[in-house]
Amino acid sequence: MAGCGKSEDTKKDTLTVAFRNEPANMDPTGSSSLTAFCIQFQNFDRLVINNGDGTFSPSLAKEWEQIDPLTYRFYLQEGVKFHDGSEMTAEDVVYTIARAEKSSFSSSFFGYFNGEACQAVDDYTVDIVTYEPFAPFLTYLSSSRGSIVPKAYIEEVGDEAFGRNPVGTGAYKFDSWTSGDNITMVKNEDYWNKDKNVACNKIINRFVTDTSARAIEIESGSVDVSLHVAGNDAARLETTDGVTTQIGPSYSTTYLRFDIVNNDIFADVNIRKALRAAIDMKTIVETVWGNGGEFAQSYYSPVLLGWKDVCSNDYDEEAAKQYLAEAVANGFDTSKTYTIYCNGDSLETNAIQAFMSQWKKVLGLNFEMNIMDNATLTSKLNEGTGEIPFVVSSTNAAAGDPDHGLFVYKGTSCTTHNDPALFNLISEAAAEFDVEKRITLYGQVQDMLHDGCYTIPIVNTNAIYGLNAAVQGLKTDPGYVPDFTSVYFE
Amino acid sequence: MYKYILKRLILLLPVLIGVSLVVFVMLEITPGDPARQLAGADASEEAVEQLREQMGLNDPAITRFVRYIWNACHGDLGASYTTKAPVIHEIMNRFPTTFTLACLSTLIAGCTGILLGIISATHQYSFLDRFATVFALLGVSMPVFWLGMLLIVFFSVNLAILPSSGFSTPLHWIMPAVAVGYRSSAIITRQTRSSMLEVIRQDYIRTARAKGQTEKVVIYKHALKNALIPVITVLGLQFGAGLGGAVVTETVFSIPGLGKLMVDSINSRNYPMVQGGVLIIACVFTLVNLAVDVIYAYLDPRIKSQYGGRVKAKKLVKTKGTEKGGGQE
Amino acid sequence: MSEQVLSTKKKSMGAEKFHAFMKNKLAVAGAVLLIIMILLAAFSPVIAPYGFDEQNYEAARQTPSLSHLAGTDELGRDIFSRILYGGRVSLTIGIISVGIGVLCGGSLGILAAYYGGTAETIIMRFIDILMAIPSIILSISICAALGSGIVNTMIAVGISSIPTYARVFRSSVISEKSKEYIEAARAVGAGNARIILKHIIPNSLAPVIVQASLGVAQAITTAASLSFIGLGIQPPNPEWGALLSGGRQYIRDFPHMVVYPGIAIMLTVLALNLIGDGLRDALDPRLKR
Repeated sequence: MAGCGKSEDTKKDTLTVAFRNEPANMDPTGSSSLTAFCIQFQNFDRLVINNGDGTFSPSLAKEWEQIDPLTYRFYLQEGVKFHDGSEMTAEDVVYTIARAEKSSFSSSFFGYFNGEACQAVDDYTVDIVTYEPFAPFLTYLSSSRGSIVPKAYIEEVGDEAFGRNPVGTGAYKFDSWTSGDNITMVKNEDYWNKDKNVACNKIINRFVTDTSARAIEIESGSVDVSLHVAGNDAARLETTDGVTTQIGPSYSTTYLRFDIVNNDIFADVNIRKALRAAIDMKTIVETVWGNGGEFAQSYYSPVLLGWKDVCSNDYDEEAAKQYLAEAVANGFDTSKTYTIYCNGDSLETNAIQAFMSQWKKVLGLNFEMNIMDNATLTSKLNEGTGEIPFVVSSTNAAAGDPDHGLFVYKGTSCTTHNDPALFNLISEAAAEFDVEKRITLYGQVQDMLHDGCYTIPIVNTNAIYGLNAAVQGLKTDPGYVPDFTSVYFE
Repeated sequence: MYKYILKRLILLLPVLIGVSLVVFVMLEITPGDPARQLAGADASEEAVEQLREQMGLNDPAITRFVRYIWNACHGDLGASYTTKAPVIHEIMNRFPTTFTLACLSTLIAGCTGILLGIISATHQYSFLDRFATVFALLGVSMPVFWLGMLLIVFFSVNLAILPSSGFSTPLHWIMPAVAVGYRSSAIITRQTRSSMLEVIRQDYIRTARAKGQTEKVVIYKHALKNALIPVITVLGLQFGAGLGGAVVTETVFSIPGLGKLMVDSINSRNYPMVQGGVLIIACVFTLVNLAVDVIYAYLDPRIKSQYGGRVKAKKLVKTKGTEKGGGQE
Repeated sequence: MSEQVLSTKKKSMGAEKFHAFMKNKLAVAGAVLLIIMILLAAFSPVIAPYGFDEQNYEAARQTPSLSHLAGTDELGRDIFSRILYGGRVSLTIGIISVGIGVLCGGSLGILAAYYGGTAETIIMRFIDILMAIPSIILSISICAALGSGIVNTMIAVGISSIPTYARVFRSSVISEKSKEYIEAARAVGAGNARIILKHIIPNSLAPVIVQASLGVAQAITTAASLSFIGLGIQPPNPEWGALLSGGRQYIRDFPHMVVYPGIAIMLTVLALNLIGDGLRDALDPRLKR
């Protein structure tokens, strides 16, 4: 790996990154914002690193072993210092897990972990316990929400001060936060991992909310890396000198979703299948998303474990008409105008308009779009009143595990289905530690989802980064949380 | 005069409480749960409920409102739901940006607007007048955010000489200030022009001319002073409105100012930020309006005399054969 | 000479003002322009070469040509047609919002001015409160509370214009109230309602008409701003602000998507401003020529 150039040109050792919004705080379990995770990632370390292929590398934990189905024992690195000089011990790990379990923002991840039962066996050995056998154990621990935080510091200054002035073990130390503009971090000279070549001395995380502005900043050179670049901007950046793009798959899936638990408009599986078969999803996705996404062929992202293609042959206009006929025979009213809800994202609304015109053309059904702002829509979706029978949603399986990607089919307040066999299958797959068996189980899950047609997958959006051509060493992360510590300039 | 100012200042308090009430009611009827917004779509209902308890959202509305007013009177406007930082702190961070933009655009509007208005009025029906008229008409007709986008296309994209977003360097200030300033300038031009035209027709101007004063003196010494009075008030009102956040301009140029803060906070149901923000903006806005009224009353001797201010004696005394500027007695 | 007097008396105030207006060339130009815009909007289904919703993926993102006068957008829809249809939405919103403002604001202003006393204090304090909030923020809050859509946008823009019309009506009524003919009407036993409706309102209308014509322009721009930031009118409705919002991300490579809808807004607002100026010149008694 080349080192950083000596700075006659300060740009060479300062990395400037543009994000699409400002994080609420820098507490790993203090928000659910993707931007927050991205920025925090450099400040903290986790117990293990997810290599992306099902294997894990040591980080703060040197080794680990499974003691019983509910317990993992981790042997920690010694001599790891937090940015305030104190040493990291097993107590901090126990504190981190317990805290993550209780926080409302990370309980979707860490609700599986039994914070009280976790124990520090000695200063550098810790037992982590889950409530039930949980196969994605390590995946969740390697996520940004599993960042190890300093117990003494947080107990001294409190959660809020910690969120504004974070202290971790990571390669970069928090330096300053200019509200509305940027968060700056500087290299941690006492970083415990001497094998890691941390090239840049400073990272400036800027907030640029406008999508096209982020691309323009890359072109003009005021920003080195831009996350969340739009598909059409990416095409242009590719052809511009000095600038390039990196496109990689993400854990996200966007889909059409029915509420058939609280509302029986679309309760008949035939009408759902008719709607699915009438759309040429591949063409629409290519037109609307371009290289911003791939046509979704299953119910979660292809980079997740156990993915298989179940949807690519769904487009069939004749079959659509037959399904419609069945639905009509069961009482479906074709003369009404149906409503589809969405949050106004411009690509999604374009796709919906394309869907609506196909449903009209092939099935003769009338739809209208109802755009609600995000806050209203998320609230209503979770209220369980059935007010939103048909909506466009997206999921980011941020944990990197298919179980997280299937959260919309799980849980007591699930509105997509009420099939006990499906619930059981998903739980079984989450508890299965044997990788081969797990893949088989998830294959069955996807088949069941396809038969039940509770959702219609649309697109797997891509993670698109715009980069200055001199930037090297950046791996696109499907969870949108890239590791900037390995980045260097040529 | 001071009594008037004092009375207006005292009235400020009930107005601000009223503003808080209006905003509070609107936020209450707005659908969308701030706790759910924070927790994320994938959080369980229990987690969201826990957050709701923590945020005090389950208390009855009246309790929450009274608690808010009580805290506000002690200078505590609450903390932002998303960043947990005090609302006042967040707003004061954004205030200089919006203030700068408002000042710059008002400066542009004042300089160009008044100049063009004077030229237009004194050279009626000439080419310059027609140019100024067209210039002003276009200015009030063009949506500011559209002009902003056109400027970005031309200067950032085609010529690549100006940055398209942010507000950190003076170079960043140019396009937003011009976008907002052009419209203000157009309004000022029209106001100056009509004001000057009205003043020029007055008898005392005819008198000054009849006395043999050069046209220059007539215009700049006599007409202008009186004509500018309403113009200054309009300029002041434009400045006040600018402080309310040139919301859409800030969106187009990604400027981290007050207006954008308000829109983002409304969208993320960040109640304390919306309430605190609108309260502070309303307060500043009202104070600016009051200042403008006071300045207007001060400048216009007709009104000044109503309030018992002492009209300067030298206005009644002729010096060097000219009348000192001033309105009609 | 008496004939002359008679003939001048026969021309009503309305006709006189109308002629004053017509003499103003710019005002007439504005009126003509507005009439053209209204006709284009009203007859858009007939004039528009394509439906506002017609998607054609092969023709997506084309620059202006003979077959697509203003080019196409990202879904291949003809922008010129969308601008024509959008005129209906924008003009409707402009007019009805002002209607709401005039009706509600006007009622408040008239009541406050006519009855005076506590009623006036309460009403005017309420107006002060509304005026203390910058109108764009007020309309954004109302839009967020009510949701998006044409009706809600009209309500939001309408409510935020109430203070303006309340004040205009109030100052008008105050100056009319003390005139002799009102006293005369009362002396012959006319009730309050009759006085208000038959005498005060018709004579207070002049400044309101001027303000309203400028107000429609303001309302159209405000509605466009609301749609632009994501509230207001949403796709597939082709409201002009929504068109600008949709084209914004393509501003770099396909600026035509942003230029033409903006021109439509500008021309309409210009026409309304010219008309408003003309009306002000014609109706304002101070500017004797």
